[in-house]
Amino acid sequence: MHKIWLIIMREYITRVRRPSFVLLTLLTPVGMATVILLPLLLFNLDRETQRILVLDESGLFSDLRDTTGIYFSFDQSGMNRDSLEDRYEEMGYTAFLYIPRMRSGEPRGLELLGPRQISMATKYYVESVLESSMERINLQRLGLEPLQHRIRPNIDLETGITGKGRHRQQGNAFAATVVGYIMGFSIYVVLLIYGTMVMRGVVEEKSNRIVEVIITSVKPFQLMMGKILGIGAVGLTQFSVWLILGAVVQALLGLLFAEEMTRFQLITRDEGLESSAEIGRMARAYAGFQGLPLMRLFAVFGFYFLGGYLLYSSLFAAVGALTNDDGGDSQLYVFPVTLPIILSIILMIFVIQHPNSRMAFWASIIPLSSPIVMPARMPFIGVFNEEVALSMGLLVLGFIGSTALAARIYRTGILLYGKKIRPLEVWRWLWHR
Amino acid sequence: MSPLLELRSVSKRYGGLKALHEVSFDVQKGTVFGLLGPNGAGKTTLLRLVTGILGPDSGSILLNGQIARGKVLSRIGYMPEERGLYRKMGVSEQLLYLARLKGVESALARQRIARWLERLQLSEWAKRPIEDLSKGMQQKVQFISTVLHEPELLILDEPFSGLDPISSQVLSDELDMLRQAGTTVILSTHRMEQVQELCPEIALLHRGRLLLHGFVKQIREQYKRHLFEVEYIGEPGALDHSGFEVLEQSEERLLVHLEPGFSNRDFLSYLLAQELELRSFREILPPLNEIFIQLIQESSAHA
Repeated sequence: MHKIWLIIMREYITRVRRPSFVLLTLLTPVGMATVILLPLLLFNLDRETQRILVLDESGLFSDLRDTTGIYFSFDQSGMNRDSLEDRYEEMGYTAFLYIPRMRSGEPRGLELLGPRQISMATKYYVESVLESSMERINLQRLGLEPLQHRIRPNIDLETGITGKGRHRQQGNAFAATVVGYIMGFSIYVVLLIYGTMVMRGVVEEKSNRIVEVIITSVKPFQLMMGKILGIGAVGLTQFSVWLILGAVVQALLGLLFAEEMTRFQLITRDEGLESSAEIGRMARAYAGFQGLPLMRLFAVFGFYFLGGYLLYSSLFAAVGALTNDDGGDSQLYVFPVTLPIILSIILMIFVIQHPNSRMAFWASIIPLSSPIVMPARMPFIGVFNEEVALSMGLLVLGFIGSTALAARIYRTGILLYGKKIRPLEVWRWLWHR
Repeated sequence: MSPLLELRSVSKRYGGLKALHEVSFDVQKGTVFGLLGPNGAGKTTLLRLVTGILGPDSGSILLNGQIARGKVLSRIGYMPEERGLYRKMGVSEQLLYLARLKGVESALARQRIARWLERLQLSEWAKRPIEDLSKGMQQKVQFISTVLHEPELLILDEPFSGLDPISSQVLSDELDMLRQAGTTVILSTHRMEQVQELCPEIALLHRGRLLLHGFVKQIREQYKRHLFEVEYIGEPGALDHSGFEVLEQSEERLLVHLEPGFSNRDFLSYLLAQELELRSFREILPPLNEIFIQLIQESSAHA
C-alpha cells in the first residue's frame, strides 16, 4: 500500500508541476469557448446577402417579409420577365423571383433564379415567406383574417412528470437534453484524454526500460494501478479547477450584471408576470435547469467518471504494454479500445432523443457504453431506480474484470522488448494461469 | 558456511519453449559470480526468476535459506540488461523515488544519494534531468540506483555494455569495493576477459541447461592442453625430444605441447640442460572463451 502510494504521488506530481499542465488547464476552457463561440461569431459577422428582385404577375403579394441577409424588392420598372432575367444583375440584385399569374389561386410555376446555385437555406426561407403570405392572403379573401390567431394559435407545450407513486413535477426536456449532452460528452473527453495519457505513460516506461527496474520493487499490478490512480487524480484536479473557474466566472457575471439577473430571476419566480413570449421561454428554460436534481446528477457524473475511467484506462494500460519500440503495432490494439468509446458517443446522441427506447436501456446498462450513455440519460430518468443501480453494479464488475484482464496482459507485455506481439499470443496470456 | 543463493532444479517454460531446464547451483557469500552463455541461453530468465519478476514453474530458489519472494527480495539489487530511467526526472529525485520503492527511508536515502553522487562525481548534476546527462553518467546513476538500498546480493546483467573504458574501470573498482564490504555479486556478461579477471566462480548456460559450473581456476586446469610458453635469450640447439612437440618457435620464444607422462618439471630440467638463459616459463591455460566455444559446439552437436 505504501509503495502504490509512492507511485501515485510520482505520477501525479511529475505531471501537475509541468508548466504545460498549468497552461493546458487554464487554456482549455478558453479553447472550448472559442470552438463554440467562434463559428457563431463568424456566422454573424459574414453572411450571404441576397437581394431578390420580385416580379409578381399575379399581383397578389404586396410585400414579402425580409430577414437578415435576404431582402425582397418588387419590380417597379415594368419590364417583362425575359428582360428582367437578363438584367437583374445589372440592376444590383443577386437573385430573381418570378411569381406567375395564378389560376384559381393555385401557386404553380414560381421560380427563384440566380447566377449560381441557390442555397438550401435561401430556398427554404423564400418558400416559407411565400407560404405564410399566401396563407394570409387566402384568409383575407375568406374574410377570416381577424381570426388568424384562433385558427392557428401558437402552442407552447408544458411537459411534466407524473404517474402513480410519483411526485408530480414540472418537466424540462430542454434542460435535460443540454445537461445530458454536457455530461456524456465530458466523460467521452475524459476517457479519451486520460486513457491516452495512461497509455503513453506505460509506453514511456517500457521504451525507457525503467519498468524492469521498478518491478523488482513492486508488483506489475501495483505499478499499473499506481499509474492509473495517479493520472486519475490529475484528471480530477483538472476538472476541479474548471469547476472552480466556472463558479468564479458565474459569480463575476452575477456581480457585473446584477440588475439584469435579478430581473430575470423575478420573471422566473413570478410566472404571472406579463412578459414577452421570448423572455417567458428563456425564463422557463432557466427554471428548468434549476428544477433538475443537480446534486444527484453530479453524483452520477462522478460515479461514471471514475468507473468509466478505471475501466478504460486499464485497457489503455494493457495496450501500452503491447507497444513496441517502433510503436507501429500499438495502432492495431488501440483501435479495439477506442472503438467502443466512439460508438458510445454516437449511441448517446441517439439515446438523448429517445431516452426511453430499448436501445437506450441496453446502452446504459452495458459497462462499455454505460459510462457515457448513462450520465447523458440520467436527467431524463431523474431518480436512482433499479435500472441505475443495475448499470452502476455492472460498471463496478466491468472495471474489476477489465483491470484483471489488463493486468495479465500488462505484466507479460512490459517485459517483451523488440518483439512483435501477435494477437493470438495475447489471447493465450489471458487464459493461461 | 551456507551459500547465499541456492537454485534447486529450477525450470521455466514460456508456452512451448523451455527457457530453463532443471538448473541447480549455489552462489557463495562474498564472491563475484559470473553467469555466462550465448544469446537466448536463459540468462535473463534466470535472473528474472532470482529477482522475483517471474516465478519458476518448478524447483526452488533460496536466498539465505529462505524462499526468494516478498520481503526477502528487497535484499537484492538488480540492474537489468534492458535498463533505463525516467528521462525528464531529476537525478536525485529519481534516485530517491527508486530507493523509497525499495523501502529505504527518505532521510537515509537522501544521505546515501549525496554520498554516492559525490563519490562518482555527479554532485553538480543532482538537480538536472536525466536526459541532460551523458550516457556514461546515466549508467553511473543507474548503478547508484541499484545499490542505494545496500543489497546483500547485487545482480548485474551486462553491466559493461555501452560503457567507455574509463566508466568500465570505475564500475570494476566500485564492484571491488562492494565485494570487499561483503556484497555478493552475480555478473552476467558476454565479455569473457572481464569474467576471467573479475569472477572466481562461474556458471555456463546453454539452451536453458547448466553446461558448466565451478571455479574458473579449476575449469581452466581441467581443460588445459599442456601448453607451455618459454622465453629465452640465446641460441637453442635442435630441440628434439619424444616428451614434447614444438608448436611454434621464434627468435626468443617457444611454444610446446608436452606429451602425457612428460611433466613440466621434466621439461624444465631439459631446458636448463640447454645453453639458454631463461626469461620466463609458464603454462598456457586455455582462455574461458575457448573452453566455452568448444563446450557449446560439442553440446550443439549432441543435440
